[in-house]
Order: sequence, then structure tokens, then C-alpha cells
Amino acid sequence: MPLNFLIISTMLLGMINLVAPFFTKEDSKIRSFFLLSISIFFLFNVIIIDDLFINGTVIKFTLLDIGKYSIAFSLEPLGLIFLTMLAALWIPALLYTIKFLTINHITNSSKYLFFVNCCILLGCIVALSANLITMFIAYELLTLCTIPLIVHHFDKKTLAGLNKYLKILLLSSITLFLPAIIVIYSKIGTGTFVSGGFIKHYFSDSSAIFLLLFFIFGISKAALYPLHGWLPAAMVASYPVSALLHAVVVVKTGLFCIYKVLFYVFGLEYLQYLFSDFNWLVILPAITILYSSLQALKCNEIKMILAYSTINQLSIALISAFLFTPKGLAAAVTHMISHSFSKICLFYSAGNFYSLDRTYYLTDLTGINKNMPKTSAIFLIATLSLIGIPPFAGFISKFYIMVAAANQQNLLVMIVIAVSSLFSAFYMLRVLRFIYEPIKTKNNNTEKTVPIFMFISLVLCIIFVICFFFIQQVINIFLTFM
Amino acid sequence: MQNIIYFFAALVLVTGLFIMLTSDNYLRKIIGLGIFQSSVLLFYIALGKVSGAILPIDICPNSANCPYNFSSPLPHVLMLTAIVVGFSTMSVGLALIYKIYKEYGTISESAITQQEDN
Amino acid sequence: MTLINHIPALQVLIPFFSALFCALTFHKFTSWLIATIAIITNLVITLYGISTSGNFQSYSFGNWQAPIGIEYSLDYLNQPIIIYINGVLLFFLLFGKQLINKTITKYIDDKKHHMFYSLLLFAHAGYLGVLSTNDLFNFYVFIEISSLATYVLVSKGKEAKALIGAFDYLILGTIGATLILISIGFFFAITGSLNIADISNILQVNYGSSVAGSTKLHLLIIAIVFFLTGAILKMAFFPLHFWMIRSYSATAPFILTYIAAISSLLGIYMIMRFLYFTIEVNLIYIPFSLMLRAMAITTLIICSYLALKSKNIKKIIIYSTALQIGYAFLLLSIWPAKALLFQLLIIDSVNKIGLFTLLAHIENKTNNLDIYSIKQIKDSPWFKILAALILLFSASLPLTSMFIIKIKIFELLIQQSLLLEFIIVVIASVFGILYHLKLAKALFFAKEENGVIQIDTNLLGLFAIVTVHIFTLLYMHEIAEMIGYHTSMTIG
Repeated sequence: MPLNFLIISTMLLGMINLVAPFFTKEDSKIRSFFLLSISIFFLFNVIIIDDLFINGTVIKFTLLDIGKYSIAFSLEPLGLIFLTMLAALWIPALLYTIKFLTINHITNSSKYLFFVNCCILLGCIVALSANLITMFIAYELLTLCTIPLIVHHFDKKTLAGLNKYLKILLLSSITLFLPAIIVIYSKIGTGTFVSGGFIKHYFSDSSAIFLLLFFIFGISKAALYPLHGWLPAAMVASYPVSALLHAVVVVKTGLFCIYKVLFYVFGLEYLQYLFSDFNWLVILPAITILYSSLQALKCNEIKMILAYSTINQLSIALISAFLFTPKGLAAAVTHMISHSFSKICLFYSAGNFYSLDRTYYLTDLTGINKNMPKTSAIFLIATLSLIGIPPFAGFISKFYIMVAAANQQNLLVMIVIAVSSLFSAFYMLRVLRFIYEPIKTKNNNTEKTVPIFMFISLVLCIIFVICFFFIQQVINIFLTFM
Repeated sequence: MQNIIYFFAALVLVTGLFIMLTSDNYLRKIIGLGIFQSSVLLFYIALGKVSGAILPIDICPNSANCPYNFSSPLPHVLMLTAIVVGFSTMSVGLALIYKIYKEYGTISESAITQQEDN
Repeated sequence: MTLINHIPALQVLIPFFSALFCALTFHKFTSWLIATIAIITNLVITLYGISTSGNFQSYSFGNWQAPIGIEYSLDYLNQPIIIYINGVLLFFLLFGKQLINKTITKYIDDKKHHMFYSLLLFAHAGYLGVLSTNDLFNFYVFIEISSLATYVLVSKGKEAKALIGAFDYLILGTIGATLILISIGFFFAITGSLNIADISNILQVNYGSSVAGSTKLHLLIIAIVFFLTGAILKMAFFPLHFWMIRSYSATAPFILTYIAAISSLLGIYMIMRFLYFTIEVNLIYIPFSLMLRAMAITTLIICSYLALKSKNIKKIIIYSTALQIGYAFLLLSIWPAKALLFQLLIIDSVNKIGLFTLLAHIENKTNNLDIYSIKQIKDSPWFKILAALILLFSASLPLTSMFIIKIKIFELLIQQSLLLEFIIVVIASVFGILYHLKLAKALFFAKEENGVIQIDTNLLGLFAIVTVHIFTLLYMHEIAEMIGYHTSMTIG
């Protein structure tokens, strides 16, 4: 019983961070200190929970019970991996966001920080959820909590972006995700996640496939074509929002929900049986990969390139998960985490460029290496990781995906992954070319610096990317529990 | 043949309804309302009539050996209430028309809609 | 105390007499005070009556027993509604005093403000009478009493169009009530009695569930048709809703928090009391439920489409009011859904109150409610937060009671294998979210060049509504159990 309390206490601790911005003055040392210390405590708590889990504790508890629907939490390996990742990324996120707000003179920062923290906490609730309805509720609330962040500064462009964003996310979840959940609840009577799936004998084969498609397209946060349009539309928001939320929390929540549905609702053996003759499901992420790579090649705005690159990487993770083997799922989880770290480095460095030079388009980045060499170096490393060059994070996860695909003799997947790496090389190297281009200008060659906090957060993230090999061992420990 | 009164009541109902729905002048609508409600009065009173019976007023001094049949008094009483209700509805309607006249200067529905559209 | 035995009569008479007192006190504040005290007393004695006499109370006026005398009966069908509408009027009076003064009574002659409260109490007494009575003709009389007062209440508004709307309401409402009166006459002709329980007995004995044989059957069908047409016309259910749209869009929004919240509740009550208590519902259930389902589907699609296409936030909210009836009809046409129906109606009602109060705050400050040219609301942080919460609750997004009810409706439809209705409800929810997005855009993201307004009326009403929402969310299960409803026939 006291162990159940540990989850509640951790969440309560995180929630203190929600109200902290309102009681402290803007850009004060007290605020930064308070927020950071709470998030560091949160990380410690999460590490304690991880440790308890590895040593065999089982924690399940129900918060609210309404008939057969209940809001319940439990610990399981996938959820804990996601939770730890969120807790680990909260610290650099806070470091970066606080100073970004100050430097760019964004007003009403308390409200901003409130909603950023809210989103991360909702991501944690999704990680801890024990049944479908809890996951759905937190998923929807996450969409709602990102709204004030996107329109924090509103003009016509942000409103149009918000419209598209909300329409795609809300409508797909209500028309596809929710009915699928209701069908499962009404047919089976419960939606609690069971390792290995629980819907095996309740549906005919074709209705199970339909249900799976409803889930995959209904969880549109994972940005499969054609429901990917919300991601580029949401890039009208400011950099910390785009970075943390749209490259890390929101999209990873989508991926995570799909993984949970695949593993805990359907079960990998059942899925292999459903797709035994020809696994046509991998064609869906393959289409998305090709589409997003081509779009990224066409774009001229930094944020749009990063957005399409995110869609690309998400579909790479999905294609690995759709192999329906334990190795495939493990590789998908690893890719989820490695991509988070690389992408957040990319977005934060781009944010640095933006803060000091107001760069929107690729051409604005020309020769920025002279003014900001350290940030450009970090950008370089993160790009190499994204493309998949050893020994960085991206290589490790793509390697595992290739191994899993090779085990299945799935040539299609291997080719798609190779082609996509090639494409990402093309469009990311385009960006690098502009950054490192030597220009002869009369501009001062002095190095512009960002506040130390923003830099520290960048360094933290890039250390994660470089040392991903060790992180991956830790992930493997969790995955053995599945 | 004795059911012809019901047809007559239906006729009055339809007349009242027609006047109410197609008049342009608000006062005529109220008159249509009155006619419409009269049809219900006819209907109820006709329900209460017993053939060969006299009005439901107790004129027998000795209730034991009363040679008369009486029509049912209940519908008469109910219709008294309905008359009062109809009367109050009409007065509310007339008060509203008076206010409309003060506001718009006319009680013709088409003129008022025209005024509102401008 | 023997007064306890008279509670069913007292709870209708107290508003009546207080209305008279209000009319006699020529002072604004005193009449408000009398009204509030009357409603609080009413609420207290109804709750007391329920707690002592339990689920069924029957009261004969003048000790003249039914079926000849007039009988009032409070049972599980009307007791919760009575408590609820007493609560609504209490909310209206207590939390809306400032809004009443600013939006409604501003347009009345200063010396006649007290008459407003008197009318309000008359309307309330009428509604309570409709709910409590067990006698058909008494039912008609109270419908007319409440309607007359409502016609006048609706006629007060910012513009003179409210008067036209009230007049239309009067004409069509009287047509509806007279149709009901004709149907009562038919029932009297068939059964010879006016008491609902008695009529039900006689019909059961004579007609039972057999459809063949009796020559009076077509009379019964005519009576049922007249009643239902009259009820649908009077309560402005689709497809006879057009007058309500016109009349509601012209009147002051704050009075609509009282009227709109109660009228649809009462309409469904009337139909349920008629179907389940008066006639032998098995006789007509199958064709009637088909008709209800058809009406429900068309309401859901058409009203949500019209709500989406409206350019005026008041019209959007009014169409969403008409839309909720669609859900209620859908549940009414499915047999085992009584508890869910009442949860839906009450939460809908609370939603409407919230939305109309929001509208009242805004209309107090600006005349222009068009979506594209509405003025921007500035510097009212609490208003924005509360408005966001109310819109969230009304849009049935997760973590609200409406969301739970939607899930239960979905489940019910799947269990009954009603695929078409399921798809229609999903489409209606989608439209619902879209027009709520429109409302949110108008409230929060208006263009600055249209001008700015600042909400400075007190927001107690909005606070109260949000509290009630959260309360229903947390205690939904308990509320469902309190409503009882023969749990063998409920879902969830």
C-alpha cells in the first residue's frame, strides 16, 4: 500500500512545478532554482521507482471507478522507459525554456511554464496508465494543454496553424480512437492492459484488423500519412514548444500509445498471426517516410525541415514496431528514445540560432558558424546522430532496426530504412552546408553567446546522444521484463 | 348523424388555425386564437351530452325519484377553466401587440419584418 | 405537524403566494428577497418531503380522493426534476442578481421591476405544477399558467425583436397547448376519467397489449397523436423548432438560463409521463420508437450542421440547445436507458446554463455577436479561465461528465447494434467539437481591430456553474443511484 503512494507522491511533486511559476517573479534566480530542483527531485523519484520495479515490485492502483471504466495506474517496462525519458528530458527543457523566454522577451511566462509543465506531467500520466481509457483521457488532455502554448502569441498565422492542428488531432481521436476503445470495452468489459494482449478470441480476423487500423490512424499523434498535417502546422509555435512538445512529448506519446496497443492490447503473436501471409502494414509507414523525405527536401524553412524529419523518424520507429517481433518492438523503443535526444538537440540549437539571429529560412543560417561555433558543433553532432553515423545514438537504434528486419527477412523494411537514411543525409547536410559556409562579411567575428543555462541544457542533451550506448544497455534491462 | 357536431368543431378548429397562421395583422391572429379555442369548447361540451338528457342543473327537489337524466357536468366545468385560460392568453397577446405597436408603429407582420431587415 | 402532509401542495402554492406578495411590494429589492426566500423554503420542504416520505407521495386536494378529485403525486420520475428546477431558480436569483439588473430589468420601467420577480415565480409555480400533478386537466392548466408567464419573460430583451419573438411563441405555444387539450378531451371520452393512474388502469383493462378488435382503438391513436404533436410543438423539438430559434435569438440571454434549462427537461418529462404512465406504451412502442429515432437522427445532423454554419455566437448556442434534444430522443427510443437519459438531461441543462450565462456577460457589454466582428475580450483573466472551463465541459472533452455520458451512449448503441445511430452520434460529436472551436475562436481569439470590451460584472454565477460541473463529475455515480430508476433497467 505505501508503495502505491509512491506514484501519487511523485506526481504531486511534479505538480508543485505547475504552480511554482505563479509565485515567483519572472526571470529570477529563485524561480529557476525552484523549478530545477523540483524536476531533479522528480528524476530521483522516477529512478527509485525504476529500481523498485527492476527488483520485482508490482504497483497497481485505481484512482476513480465509474462502472467498468476506471482511471488506474500501474508500472510496466514500456511505461517506465517512457517515464524515465520524460523525467530526464524535463531538466534540460526547463533550463532552456526559462532563459529562452527571457531572451526573446516573451510575456506572460508563468502561464507558458505552467502549460509546459502540464504537458510533461500529462505525458507521465500516459506512461503510467493501466488501461485504455486512462490513456485516452490523458492523450486528449495533452492536446488541449498544448493549445495555449501554440497561441501564446497570436496572429493570423498562428490561428490558422492552430485550426489545422486541432482539427486533425481532435477529430481523428474522436472518430477513430474513441470508438475503437468503446468497442473493446463493450465487447470485452475491460480495457486493462495485459502483457501479451487480451482481445484474441473476441473478434474475427477482419474486424481485428479494422480495429487495429482504427487505433493506428486514431492515434494521429504518431503522424502517419495522411494524418500527419498537424505537425508542420504546429511549427508556428515558438522554439521551446516545438522542441519539447512536438519533437518529444506529443509525438512520443503517440508512438508510445501505439506500442502499448500493439503489445498490451493485441499481443505480438496475435498480430503475427493476423498478418501471417504478407505484412502489408509496413507499407503505411513506408509511404510516410518517402513522402516526408521528399517534402523535407523541398522546404526552405528550418523548422519545417525539422518537422518533416520528425515525421520521417517516427515512421521509421513505427515500421520497426510493425514487424511484430519482440526484437522489432525493442528496436522501435530504442529508436523512440534516441530520436528524442537527437531531435531535441537539433531544435534547441536551432532555437539558439533563432534567439541571436532571428533565423527563419535556411539562407539566414549562412555562415553562422563564425558567430556561434559551439552551437554549430552540437548541431553537427546531432545531425550525424540523426542520419545514423556511428558511434552516436541514431546509429545504434537504426542498427537494431536493421537487425530485427534481417531476422524477419523483410527486405522491404531494410531498403526503406537505408533509403530514408540517405534522404535524411541529403536534407540535413543541406542545413549544415549553410551553417558552415565561410562568408566574407564585414560582420564582427565575435562569438555571440546565449545564456549559460541554455548552453548547459544543450550540452546535457548532446552528452545523452554521445553516450547513448550506455543508455541503451539500461533500456535493455527494462525490455527483458516484457 | 349526431356526430356532426364534431365535424363542426373540427371545421372551427381549422378555420381558427388558418386565420392564426396566415394573417398579416397581429390582431387578426389573436382573433384566430379565440376561434381556435372555441372549437375545443364545442368539442368538450358535445362530449358531455347524453342523449335525451337535460342541462346539468339540479332542479329536482327530491333526489330519490328524479325523472330526468342529466348531461355530464364535468366537461362544462372543465371548459369554464379553459375559457378563463383562453381569455388570459388573449389579454397577454393583446398587451404584447400594444407594446409592439408602441415600438414599431405598425402591427402588420410583413411591415415589421421589412423594418427589421433594414 | 399536519403541514407535512400537505407538502406536495405547498411546494406549488408557496411560489404562487410569493408571486402575489412580490406584486404587492412595490420595491425591487424586497421582491427579490421574497422570491429568494420562497425558493429556498421550497427547496427545503421538497427535500424534507423526500427524506420523510420516501419515494412516493400522493396528495389529494381537499381530501377528495382520486379518481374524481385532483391528485398530486410525487414519485421517482418527478422528484429529482423538482429539486433540480428549484435549484436552477435559486441559482438564477442568487448568482444572477447583477446580471438580471443589467440585462433584463434595465429595459423595464423602473417602477415595475418587482413585477419581473412576480412573473418569474408564477412561471416557476406553473412548472412545478406540471411536474407534480397526476390529473390530466390540471396538467393542461399548469402548462398554460407557466407558458403565459414565460411568454412575458421572453419578451424582455435589448431589442424590440424580443416582442415579436414572444408573440410568435404565444401563438405557437397556445396551438400546442390546445392540441394537448383536445387530446385530453379524447382521453376523457374514451375512459371517462381524468386521473392519470386511473386512465392507465382503464386502458390496460380494455385494450391490454392486443392491437386487434376494439373499435375505440383508432380514437386512442388519435388522442395519442394529438398529445404528442402538441407536446412536440410546445417544447420546440425538431422538426417544429423554428419558432424557438427565432424567439430565443431575440431575447435577453440571461433569462434563457432559466427558460432553456427547464423547457427541454419538462418536455421530455411530459412525454415520459404520457408514455409510461398514461397509455399502454407497448401498443405504440415500436412505431413510436422508430419515429423518435428518425427524429433524433435528423435533429443531430441538421441542428449540428446549422450550429456549425451560424455566424452569431448566440445562434450557435441556441442550435446546440436544440441539438441536445436529439440525444435525449435517441435515448428515449432505446428501452433500457432511463437513468442515462436523466443524467444526460441534467448535465445538458447545467451546460446550457453555463453557456447562456457566458453569453449574458458578453452581451451586457456589446451588441455585436457576430463571430467575425465580435470585440476582443481583454483584461478579464478570470472570465477567460472560467469560459474555457465551461466550453471544455460543454464540448464533452475528456474528464468531464458529458464525456462519460457520451461513452455510455456509444456503448449502449453498440450493444443494441444500432450502427447507423452510432455513426450519426460520432458525426454529431465531431460537429460539436467544431462549433465549440468556433465559439472558442470568437471568445478568445477575436481580432483586436474590432474593439475591446472588458467584463466587469461579477463572475459568481460562472464559478457556481463550474463547481456544479465538477461536483457532478465526481459524484456522478451517486447521483445516478439517487435517481434510482429500477436499476434493472439501467446501463453502467
